[in-house]
Amino acid sequence: MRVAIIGAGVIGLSTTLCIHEQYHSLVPSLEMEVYADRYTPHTTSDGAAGLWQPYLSDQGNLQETLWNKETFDHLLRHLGSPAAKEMGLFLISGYNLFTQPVPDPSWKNIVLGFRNLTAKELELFPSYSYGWFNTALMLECRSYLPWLTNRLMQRGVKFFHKKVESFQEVSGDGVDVVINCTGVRAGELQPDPELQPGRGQVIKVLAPWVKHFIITHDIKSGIYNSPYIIPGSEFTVLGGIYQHGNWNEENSAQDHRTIWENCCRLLPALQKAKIVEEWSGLRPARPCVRLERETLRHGHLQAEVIHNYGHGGFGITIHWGCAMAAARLFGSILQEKKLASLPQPRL
Amino acid sequence: MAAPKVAVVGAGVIGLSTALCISETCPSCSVTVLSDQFSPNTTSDVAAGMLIPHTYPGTPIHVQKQWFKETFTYLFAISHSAEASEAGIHLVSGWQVFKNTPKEELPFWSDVVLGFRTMSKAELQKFPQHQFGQAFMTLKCDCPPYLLWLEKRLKATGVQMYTRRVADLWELHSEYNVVVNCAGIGAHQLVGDKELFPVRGQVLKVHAPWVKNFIRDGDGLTYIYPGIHRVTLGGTREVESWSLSPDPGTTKDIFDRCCSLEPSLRRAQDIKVKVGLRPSRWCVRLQRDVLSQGGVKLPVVHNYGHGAGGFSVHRGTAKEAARLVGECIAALQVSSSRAKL
Repeated sequence: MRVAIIGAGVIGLSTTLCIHEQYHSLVPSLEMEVYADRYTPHTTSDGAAGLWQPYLSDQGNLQETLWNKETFDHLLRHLGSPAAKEMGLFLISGYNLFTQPVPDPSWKNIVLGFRNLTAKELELFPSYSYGWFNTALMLECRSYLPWLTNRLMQRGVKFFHKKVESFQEVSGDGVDVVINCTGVRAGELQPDPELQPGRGQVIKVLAPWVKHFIITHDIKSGIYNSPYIIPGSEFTVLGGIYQHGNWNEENSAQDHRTIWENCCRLLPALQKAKIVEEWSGLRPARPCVRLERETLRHGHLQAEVIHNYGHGGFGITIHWGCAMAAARLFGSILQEKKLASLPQPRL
Repeated sequence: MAAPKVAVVGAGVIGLSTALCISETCPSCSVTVLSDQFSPNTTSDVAAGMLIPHTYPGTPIHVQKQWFKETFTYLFAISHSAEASEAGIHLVSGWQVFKNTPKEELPFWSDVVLGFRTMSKAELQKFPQHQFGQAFMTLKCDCPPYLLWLEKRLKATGVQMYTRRVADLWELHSEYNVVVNCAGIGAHQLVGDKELFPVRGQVLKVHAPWVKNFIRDGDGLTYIYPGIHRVTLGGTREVESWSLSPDPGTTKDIFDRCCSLEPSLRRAQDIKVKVGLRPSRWCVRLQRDVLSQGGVKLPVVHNYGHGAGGFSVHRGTAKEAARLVGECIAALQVSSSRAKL
């Protein structure tokens, strides 16, 4: 059985690993192939700071909240393992700041030690009057994607450097299942007006004295359009740009100024930080994640497609839960093809 | 009296911060720092510089709390100024975990640090051998940066600093009006204080930049303190040991203990080993004294014996020492004007 995965960001690679882990012993003929025109360190995932944190509101999407939790718990279990450093996985604590009181988020019991900020702590941030403190996780894709790639190569998964122009290109070649993890460019394979780029820009600096993440929120500007500071294992990421519908992957001088001024106002010591890199990326924004099966018919050929894209600015946060859901969809395909005897897929 | 001349003996965190406080409260004073060691070779340079107080049995708790509060407030302001990175001051959050629930669940300083609370069961899962824990945020003074920053502030106010080994405080009586003794463990020899004893601490300073939180075992012996560039792993508390040589067996023991608290440390790189002798005393010696020989008097202010708690209380004790220096100068001015009559 041949499975083609299109896309090698965090979603593509983790979905491949999840499926291989669960089914390779049940389906001895399982062959998995990854197709992508961009690999680490050039994917959207690589540009992200890597902080596990969902959006403030789940907008009633309990399934996504569950996938976020599954991801957090999965990563937490790996924290004590020898692989953690290689994965780019570590604990980090920090602040979410607001200009007015807000309801607690859906993820308050998923993260560790969630609490409100005390008045004394808020003195650090004169423009903000309310906030949270919690311990979460960082998963740096510059390490995680190579780690996933190594695991996959050890399992015999093949990688192809190729821009796939249509599903038929891969499905017509004897591939039984196509897994669509194409992120922001999924519309090129199949039009999806709900999928839009959420352009972001970040400045990477050397500021090793910063040990906490600081995410500010401005209810009026919307998510990620307010400054944030996220310290990584090597660099600290400064950001705060979210432009819906903007496909430009070039860095903007104006956005640079916005990020720099806002972040330095938030943490004056950043003025002394050395700028190392600047990067722009397109979050694959969608009202909800598209995670579903589709049967594509092309002439007399039929291929099963599993879509797994549209994770916006929370791809890393939700990736493992989605990978497992995609694996369950894969299981139901196997059952239909009577290729494996499995328990009923959970709906 | 013309500009009073004050000598501060010692250039660790106590000596430098005391000199700074004196120059702040007595602008007319001429302050000079004398020490045989400057950063990076002081005891302070070995310390992690965490603001977690040590409890002195002989000092009233409300005094220790006041010293800690003053120090915390002072450093907190620097930590969110533009100078924070140069001064080496940064906020760090983390956990203090106990294998057995401590008798005192709320230390005296719990309302001075930020966000102090008991750890949840979920948080304690990370520490299977520990059954109780406290989470909080505090400050860390990285050395050498903090000492170098103090030196820079001192030079800017006109304070002179000289490398000089003072064998006896009396040798300064002809050059200075007041001497401030911040000699740390050196006071054992310098003033023959038998109540002062070393508590040897060996630490490892490693490269592990993914460690963002501190972890401390409530017994005070095992700790992981992330600094700007290095993580300090500790430690030992060897009473009456004067050895400054690193012990390889101890290095392995510290490393293993820290890895059992934080397994990812197994991947730490570039391990540097350091040793410091905590200048320990049942109470900090912070008091006026007078040396006299042949009718000549030399006022002295002692400020030493901070043991494991130097960073935590340094600014508070420096301010008190400066106040005592002010008293000495006032007394000298009275007696010098009497002498004129």
